[in-house]
Amino acid sequence: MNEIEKNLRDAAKELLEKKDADLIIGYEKGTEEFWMRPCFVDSMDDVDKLTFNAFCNINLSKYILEHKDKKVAVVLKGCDSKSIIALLQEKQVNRENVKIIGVPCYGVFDESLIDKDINYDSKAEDNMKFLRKRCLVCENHNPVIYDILVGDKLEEKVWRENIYEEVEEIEKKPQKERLEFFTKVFSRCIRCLACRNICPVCFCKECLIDEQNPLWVERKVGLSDILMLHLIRAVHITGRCIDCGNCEEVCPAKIPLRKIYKKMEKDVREMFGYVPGRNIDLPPFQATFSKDDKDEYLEGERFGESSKV
Amino acid sequence: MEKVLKCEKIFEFLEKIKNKGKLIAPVEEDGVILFREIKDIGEINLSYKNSLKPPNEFLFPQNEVLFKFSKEKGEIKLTDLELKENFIIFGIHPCDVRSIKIFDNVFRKDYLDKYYDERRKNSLIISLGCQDVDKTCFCTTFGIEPAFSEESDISMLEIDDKYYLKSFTEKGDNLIKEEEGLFEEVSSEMVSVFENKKKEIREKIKEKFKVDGLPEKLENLYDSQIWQRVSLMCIGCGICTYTCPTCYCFDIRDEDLGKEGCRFRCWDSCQFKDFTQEASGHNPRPTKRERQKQRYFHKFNYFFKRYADYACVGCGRCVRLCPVNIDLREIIREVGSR
Repeated sequence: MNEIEKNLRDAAKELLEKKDADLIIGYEKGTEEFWMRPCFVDSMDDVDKLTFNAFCNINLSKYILEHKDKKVAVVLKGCDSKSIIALLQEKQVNRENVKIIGVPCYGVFDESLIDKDINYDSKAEDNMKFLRKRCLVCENHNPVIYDILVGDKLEEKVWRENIYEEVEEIEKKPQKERLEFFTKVFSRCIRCLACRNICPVCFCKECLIDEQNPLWVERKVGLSDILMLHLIRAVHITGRCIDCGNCEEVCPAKIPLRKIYKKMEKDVREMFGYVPGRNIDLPPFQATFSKDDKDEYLEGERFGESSKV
Repeated sequence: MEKVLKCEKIFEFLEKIKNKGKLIAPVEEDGVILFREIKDIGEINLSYKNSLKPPNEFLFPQNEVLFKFSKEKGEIKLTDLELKENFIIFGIHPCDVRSIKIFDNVFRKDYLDKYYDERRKNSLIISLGCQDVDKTCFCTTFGIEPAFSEESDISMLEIDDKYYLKSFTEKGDNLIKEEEGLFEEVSSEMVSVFENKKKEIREKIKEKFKVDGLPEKLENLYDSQIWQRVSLMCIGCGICTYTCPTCYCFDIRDEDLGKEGCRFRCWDSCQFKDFTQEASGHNPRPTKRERQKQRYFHKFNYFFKRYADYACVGCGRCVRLCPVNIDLREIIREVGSR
C-alpha cells in the first residue's frame, strides 16, 4: 500500500465516521491486472477496497450528479478537479454536499503502451513514455479545488513544451487533408455515445442527440449524421472541456476526439483568454459576453483562404 | 471435404475468392480491427485477436434501408430493395461464427426476416482459427473451439507453413472444387498435428465458467443487489451492446427527405434510457439498474428459455471495452455461485 492509498483510506474512514459523507466515490482494483474502476463505498467494511495508483484513469466527478441527494466524497486528480469547477460554475453541484479528496498526480498510464515490467507503485514521472497523451500536456498536477489532500503537493510543470503540438499538426494541413483525416476517423464511429456519457460536462437531461422532435441527428452511422453529432458535442463543450481525455480513451473505435476539443480549447484561450476549470468565481465561458470580444472566429480570417466557403 | 493450402498461396486463394463476390475481411486501421470490403488483398490482417464490431454486421447491418418511398404526381411510390449481391466473409473467428447461429434463431426461426435471410443465403462464411487469444476471451465456456469452427462453410487453421481447411457445406465444397488446383491433399500425420494444435490453442483460454443452471439461478435474482451495484458504475453507453456479436435489438425509423425518404432499421441498445421510453412518458426501465439487469437476463434467461441457447459467445468484447470495467464474466461467476 502506498502513502496516498493509506491517507485516502484514513480520510474515507474519518468522513464516514463523522458522517461528513454518506458515500465515498473512489477507485478499486478491477477484474484484470492494471484495470481500475469506480468504487462506491458507504460502509466502513468496504473502505479498504479504495485504492489509488497511476492506473486510476476515469474521471469520477460526473458520478456526483447521480447522488445529489447524498453527502458525497469523491476522489479527484488534478484534471478531474477542474471538471468539478466547471460543474460548480454551472450550478450542477451543491458545494456543501461534496467533499473533494484531492490527489496530486503526475499522470496516468495508458495500459496499451506498457512494454516492460511495471507495478502498482510505479511512478508516472519515471515512466513518461507510458503516460496518456493528455497527461503529457497537463497543466494542473495538483487539484485546483479540494477539501482534503491525500498526497504531497507536486511541482507544477508541463511535460511537453508545446501543449498544442497535436492541434498544430492538424491546423497546418490543407483543408482537403483535414477533411480526409476526420472522415477516416469518424467513419469508425459506432455511435455508442460513450464519449458523451463519460463526459463530465455533458450532463443535460435532454440531450440534443437523443431528441426526436425536432430531430437534429438521425440514428444512423452515416458520415453526415456522425459528423453532426460530434460537431454538436464539440461546440457544446467549448470553454467547458477541461481535457480529462476520457472521451478519447473510452472510445472503442479509437477516434482521436481530443484533437478537436483541444483545438477549441486553444481558440478560446487565444481569442478570449479563458481557460476552463481554473477559477470558480468566473461565470461559465458560454454565458459570458463582452463588447470587446473579438469576433474573428465569425469572419474566418483566422484560418486563411481555405476556410472560406 | 478436407484440404491443405500452403501459406504462400493464401493471397492467390483470396484473389480467386474476390472474383466470386464482395470480399469482406479484417483490416487494421489506427490499431482498430474492422471488417471491411476488401479492395486490395494486401490490406487484410490475418493475425488479429478481435474486431471492433462483430462481422455479422454484414448480415444485420447497423443501419439498413428496408424500403424507399417517394411522391410522384400525387402518387406514393414504394420501392423494395434488391439484395442480390454475393459476398464472402473471410477470416471470421469461431466465436463470431457461433453468433451467426444465434442470430439464425432470431431472424430465421419463428419469423423469417427476409433481409437477414437474403443476406445469409448470399453469403459464404470462411472462418479462421484463433492463434492468439485475448485475456478476456472465454469462448470455451460456451463449447466453442477457438481454433476451429464447424459452423462455417469453410473453416481454416494455420499450422506452421500451411492452412488446414475443411468444408462443412455444399457451398464450401463447391468453392474448394472450383479452385482444386491450389490445394494439396491432407496427409495422415496432418490429422494428429491438427488435433494437437487445436488443443494447444484451446488451452490458451484460461478461464471456463460454469453456465449450467444460469437461467434458473437468475429467476431468483430479479431483485438482487448485483444489478444495483453494477448500475452505480455504468455510464449508460452502448459499447457493450453495439460490439456484442449476439445483441440484435433494433429500432425502425422513417427518414423523410421531403419528396422522398426511406424506412430503415438501425441497431438500438437496451442500455440507452430511451430504449423503452413509451409515448405516454412512462418508462418501464427507468434507471440503469433495470437496464443492466435486462442485459444479463436477456442473454442468460429469456433467450435461453426461447431458443435453448445462451446469447453470449465469450468473445470478451464487452469486457475489454467497457469504460468502467463492468465485467460479464464476474457477473456469470457471481450468479453461478448463488
